[in-house]
Amino acid sequence: MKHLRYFLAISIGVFLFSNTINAQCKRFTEKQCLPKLAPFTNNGQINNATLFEGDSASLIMTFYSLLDYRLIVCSHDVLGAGAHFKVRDNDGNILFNSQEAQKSSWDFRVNSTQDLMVSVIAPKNPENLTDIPASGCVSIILGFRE
Amino acid sequence: MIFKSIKYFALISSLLIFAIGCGDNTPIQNPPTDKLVDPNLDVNSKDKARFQRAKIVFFALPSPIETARILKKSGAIYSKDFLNPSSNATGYSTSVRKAVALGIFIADLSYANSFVQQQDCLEYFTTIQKLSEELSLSNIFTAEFVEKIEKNINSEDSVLKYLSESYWHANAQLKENDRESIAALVAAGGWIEGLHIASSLVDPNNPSDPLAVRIAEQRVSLKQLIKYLLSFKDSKVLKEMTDDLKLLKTSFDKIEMKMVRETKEVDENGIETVGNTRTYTYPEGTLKEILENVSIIRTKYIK
Repeated sequence: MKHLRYFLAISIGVFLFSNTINAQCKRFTEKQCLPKLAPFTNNGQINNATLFEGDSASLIMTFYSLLDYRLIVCSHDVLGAGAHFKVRDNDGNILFNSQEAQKSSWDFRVNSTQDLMVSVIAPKNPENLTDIPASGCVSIILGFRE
Repeated sequence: MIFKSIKYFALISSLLIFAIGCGDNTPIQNPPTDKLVDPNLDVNSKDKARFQRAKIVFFALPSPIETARILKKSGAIYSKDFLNPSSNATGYSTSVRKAVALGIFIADLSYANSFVQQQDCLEYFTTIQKLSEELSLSNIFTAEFVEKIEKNINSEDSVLKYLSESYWHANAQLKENDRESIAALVAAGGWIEGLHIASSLVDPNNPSDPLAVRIAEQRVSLKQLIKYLLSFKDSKVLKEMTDDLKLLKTSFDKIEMKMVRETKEVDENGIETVGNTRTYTYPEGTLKEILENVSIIRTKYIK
C-alpha cells in the first residue's frame, strides 16, 4: 500500500513536470514571441520545443505564393545570444541566414507555393560556465498577410 | 524483502517509462542522421555529437486560416451552400469525428470571415464553441469569447485576430495535454474543407483556372500532412484519415510539375521574393478524379 502511494506520487509528479514544461513554453511563446508578429496574423499553428544549448531543430513549412510572410524564431534568454535559423529551398540552397542578416525575423514571399526547410540551432552559451547545458524554449512562429 | 523492493522498483520504473515515452499522442522525432545536420553550424565536435543526438524535427501543419485567404485572392466567391451546415455538429459521436469536424468548421468560419459574412461567422463560432467543449478544449472558445466576437463582428480584422488567437490556444492546449493527434485531425479536417471549397468553385473542365492551380499546389501540404499523421507512435486513431489522404495523394501524384529556379528579388519595402517558380499540368481526367476523391472523403467526415 505504501509503495503504491509512492508510485502514484512519482507518476503524478512526472506527468505534472512534463505538462509544466509545455505550459511554460506556451506562456513564453504567447507573451514574448507572438506580439513580434504584428502587423502579420499568426496562422494558428504552434511549433515550439525546449532545446538545450547546442541542440538543433528543423521544420518543413509550406508557404503559399499569394501571401506575404513573417517568420520568427524566438528563444528564451537563458539560451544566451538566442537561437539562429536558416531557411533552405528544396535543393538545399540557403535563402535566409539569420546570423548573417543579424535579424531574428524574416519578411518574405515565395514565387510559387512550396515547402521550405527551416533549421534552428540554439548555440552554446559562452556565459554558461557550468557542466550543465542550459535549456530554454524555442518557438518558430509564422505570420501572414495579404 | 529485497525481492519485494526490487519488484516495486521494476514496476515503478516500467510504468514511469510508459508514462513518459509511450503516450499514443506523441509524434515520433525523426532519428538523427548526418544528412540532417547543418555542416555550417558553429559548434565544436563534442557539441556536434550531442547536437546530432538531440536533433528534433517539427512538423508544420496546414492552417485553415491561411487557406481561406488564398481562396479569396484566387477569385473564389462566397456561397454558404458549399459549407458544412452547423446543424450537423450534433451528429458526431467519436472524438476523431469531432476533431475533424472542428477543423472543417474552423475552415468554414475562416472562409465566411474572408467574405465578411458576419451572421455566418457568428453561427460557426457558436458551433465551434460547442464542439470544442465536447473535445474538452476548455477556456478557449467560451461563451464569453463568442460574446466578444459579437461585439466586434463588423471588423473582419478583429474576427481574424480572435480566430487566429483561439486556434493557436487550442493547438497549444492540445500539445500541452499530449493530445497532438487531435490537433492533427483538426488540421486535416480544415485542410480537406479548404480543398472542398476550392473544388466546388473550380471549373472541372479548365485546368488553367486559378483555383485549379491552387488545388495542384496543395500536393505539398498533403505530403506534409501524411508525414505528420504517420509520425505518431500509435496512429490507430489516425489510420482512417491517413488512408483517406494516401488515396488522395495517388491522384495528386499524377499532376506534373515543372520547376524553374529564380533569383532573389527585393521590393521597395524590403520584402524578399524567394524560391523557385512551379507550373502544374493535369493529365487528362486528373482534375476530375481529384474533385471526386475530395468529395467522397469530405462527405464521409461531415455525415
